[in-house]
Amino acid sequence: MKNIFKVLFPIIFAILIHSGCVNLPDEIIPPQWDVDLNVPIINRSYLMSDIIDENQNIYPGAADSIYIIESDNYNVNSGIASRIEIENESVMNDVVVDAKSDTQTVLILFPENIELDSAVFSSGFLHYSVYNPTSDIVYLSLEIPGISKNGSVLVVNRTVFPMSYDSSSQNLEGYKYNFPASQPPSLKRYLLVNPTITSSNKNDSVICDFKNSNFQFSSVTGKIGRRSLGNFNEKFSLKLGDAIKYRDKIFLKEASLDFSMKYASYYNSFFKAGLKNLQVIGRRNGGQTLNLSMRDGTSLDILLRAQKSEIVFNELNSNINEFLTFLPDEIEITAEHIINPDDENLSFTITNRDTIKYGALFRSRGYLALKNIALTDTLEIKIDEGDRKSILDSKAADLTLNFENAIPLTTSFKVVLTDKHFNPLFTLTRNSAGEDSMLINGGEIDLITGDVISPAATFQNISLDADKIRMLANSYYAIVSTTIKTKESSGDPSALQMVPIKVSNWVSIKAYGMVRYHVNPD
Amino acid sequence: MKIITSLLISLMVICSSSKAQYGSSGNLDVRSTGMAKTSNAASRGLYSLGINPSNLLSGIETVDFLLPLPVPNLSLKTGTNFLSINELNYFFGGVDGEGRYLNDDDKDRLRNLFKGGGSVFADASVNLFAISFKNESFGAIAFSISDYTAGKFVFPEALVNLALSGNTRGKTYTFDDEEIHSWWIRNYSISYARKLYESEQGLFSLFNKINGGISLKIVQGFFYIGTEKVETSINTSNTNAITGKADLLAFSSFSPSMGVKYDFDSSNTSKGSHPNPFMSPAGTGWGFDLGFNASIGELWNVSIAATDIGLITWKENTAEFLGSGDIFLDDLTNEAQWDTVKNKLFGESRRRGSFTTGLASALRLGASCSLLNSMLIPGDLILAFDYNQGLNSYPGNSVIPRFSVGAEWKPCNWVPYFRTGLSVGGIDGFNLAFGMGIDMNVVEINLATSDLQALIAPNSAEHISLALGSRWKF
Repeated sequence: MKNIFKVLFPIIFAILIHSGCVNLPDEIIPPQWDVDLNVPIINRSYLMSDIIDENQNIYPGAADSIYIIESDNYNVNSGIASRIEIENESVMNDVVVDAKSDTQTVLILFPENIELDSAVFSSGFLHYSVYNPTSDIVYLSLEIPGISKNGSVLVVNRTVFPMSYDSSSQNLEGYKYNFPASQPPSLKRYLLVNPTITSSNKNDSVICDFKNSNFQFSSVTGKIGRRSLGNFNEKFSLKLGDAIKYRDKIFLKEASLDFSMKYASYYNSFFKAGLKNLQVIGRRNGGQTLNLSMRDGTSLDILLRAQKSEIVFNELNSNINEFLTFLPDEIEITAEHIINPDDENLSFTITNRDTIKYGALFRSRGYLALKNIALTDTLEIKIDEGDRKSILDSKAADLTLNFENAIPLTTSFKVVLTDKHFNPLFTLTRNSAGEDSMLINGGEIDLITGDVISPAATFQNISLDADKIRMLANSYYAIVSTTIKTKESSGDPSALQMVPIKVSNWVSIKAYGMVRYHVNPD
Repeated sequence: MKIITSLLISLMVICSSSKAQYGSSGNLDVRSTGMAKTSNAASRGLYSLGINPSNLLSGIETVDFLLPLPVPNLSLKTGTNFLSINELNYFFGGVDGEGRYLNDDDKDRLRNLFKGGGSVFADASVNLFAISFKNESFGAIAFSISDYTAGKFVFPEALVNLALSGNTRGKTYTFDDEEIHSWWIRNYSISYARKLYESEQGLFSLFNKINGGISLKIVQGFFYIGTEKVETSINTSNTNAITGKADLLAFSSFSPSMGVKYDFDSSNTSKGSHPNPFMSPAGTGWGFDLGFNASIGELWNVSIAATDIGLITWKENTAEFLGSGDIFLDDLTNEAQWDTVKNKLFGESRRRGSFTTGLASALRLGASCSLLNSMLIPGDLILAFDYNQGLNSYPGNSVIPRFSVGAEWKPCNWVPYFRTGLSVGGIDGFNLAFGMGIDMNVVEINLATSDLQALIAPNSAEHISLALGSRWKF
């Protein structure tokens, strides 16, 4: 046994000693290297319906999927008048009132032959003058049963001295008129006055003159002939928002304006009203104006119907295309309000609380031409710090961008990346040809219909070296400058090629490239 | 007794964290390991279990035991088929404290190392207990409990190329060589061998003696992870679209005591991991070994055996990982597309009922020549030659044939056994083995490595192995 160990131990010892020569690394440190990865970045197609956020203001038309651009419904209420005025006056002279009769009746014609059932005076005067040719003192009482105030019938008492005149004017403001029950219905054109005199001599009489003038009513019921209530104007603002950027650069086709008017009677008692010489005026804040006008040059006289009267301005009957293209900040509506425009023999009620509700709804089918619309936006680049470090592991990138555009809009855009303080770092869209902007050609179109007949292919190449990638990792904002235009056939705006924007328009983007990535597993 | 129990448990826990192998290329007993696993005709007694049960009749002992004392019967092996210590130093040793930057030459060098796929493996086997009894008229009978745990991961060559050079346009990358196999199984085997024929004249005037043996095994599996099929390929188009085909199928099963919870299984209320030497199995099965040994004259022995013919049915905590279909990726920003590709490439996991795997079945042929006190060489010398053919790729096995030659020499009584051999093929490729053993009459203690090159030129070696053991014999 002893001999066995004599042999065994040296051998084992030698093995162990030799094993100590194994040169193992003190620390396992993985290697690092660069690898070229050919990556597909994006391959997507977007229908116009993916791009446009459809809502109540923009939606596809049912017939041909061309987008409809529609404004909110603008409404404005216009009071028809602060008062209803009877401009003329009526006179009745030489009315003899004697002392013999207990009751006498005088009928004074209302001005302008109006027939009143009731009314509330906002102003007006009843003038009278009395001559007493007798030698007695006469006491005159004028009762007007149709006019009252606070429930009391209007009664005027005067004392007229012998051989003298007496005159006065009764202010009717605040008085109400109600056709007296005792007055024959056929005599609604007349104001009934019951004069009486009292004198010591029953044979005495006086001579009266009557005149009423300046009748103005806050409300009136009766037969009133055709009457102008004067010119009125109302304004409302168009909240254009970002659309103002398109001013003078967008040209529309197949625009329309649904203009509605409704007479709102305070007592729900509609009668015919009218608007004479209606004008819709677009006004920019800078003072420029453009009138919406009819192509045949006629003025707009509109008869308001029982419910809602509507007129549709379209490109056939008006200059609505130009009007909407004008993109006014404010719309002004002016018109002369007419009541009973046909001068019909009808009884109706009108008050100064009656209004005309104007409604305007602008609409345009998505037929348009754009002329180099420039848009600039600053976008925040949201990349967390971990990802920024990962970007730094890339050493170079060579990206190819393929666009197929079946939208009839040509777009060029330039993306400048900036640091936290908006200091420009580099132009991301600078291509290998040295151009800063990236151009995406619009689809080829049928020059008659404007429809896209074939998509336009655009290839772009962007190379990023290590410096640019370092700057990319340090980018916090992207300033994106975009120019959009449709095909132009000439510089003349009237000759611009109009194109329809359809739901079926599409654009596809395919981006792929090589990224040289530094692998450092440590 | 407590100490023995503790030692047993410790050994099993050690084994559970490594990989064991048997089959055509896996670890064998310490004596065979010293002879470059050349043991089909040369194994004796209990060392023949799992190799050729008919060899139970070889040897002079009547009774022998394998016990954890004085030295446990343990074989360990780990390594790669691509990375030596020198390469490890070069690529993972760093330069001035930083990771080495790989230039094109370095990349080529690394690519060449992974040519044909790079495998990493580790395996261990331990024989917990074995006993055999031999009687001239009855034959030999043996009972054995042994554990094998093994793991093998093959990096596909394409994956390495992708990682180093990226995806070249127009080039197709196939991952068919990807493989993951790992398991821990325990065999309870009972073996019987007897003499089938003996004659001075010899059968066919050639074989003087023929022995036959069989081992019947009850197999318990504690975990299994394995790829059944990987036929995945990808291609990069001129516009960098990734296309290809995925066809991946893998299974797993774990003992409930391991507390493994799958991501997909929210209903699993496992109370955590509680591994122990006698866990409830994840799968059970059976198997058998059948072998014959024939003597030609006094010197020569030839052997043929088929081992580990059988099945394991895995039932507990099973899952399958399935990825199939066409791969298409042309938009990295498309999360749905990207998720689909990931699921196809790496497989979607889901609960699976039972599934069945085979054992590491192998066909073993061998011949040996015993020179006892010959005129030329003093002492006892055994020379042997083996051909091992694995019938599948389960851990420990390889369908790549393995050829080996080995020798055991004991010059005289007081000199230990010297064993050596070389092996070519199988999982490991070329191996040079060396072992020693001392025989103290009732107990024999052996030590060996099947990777002598790891001792001679450790910095160039890709594998290391160690086997040790003791055998009681009476």
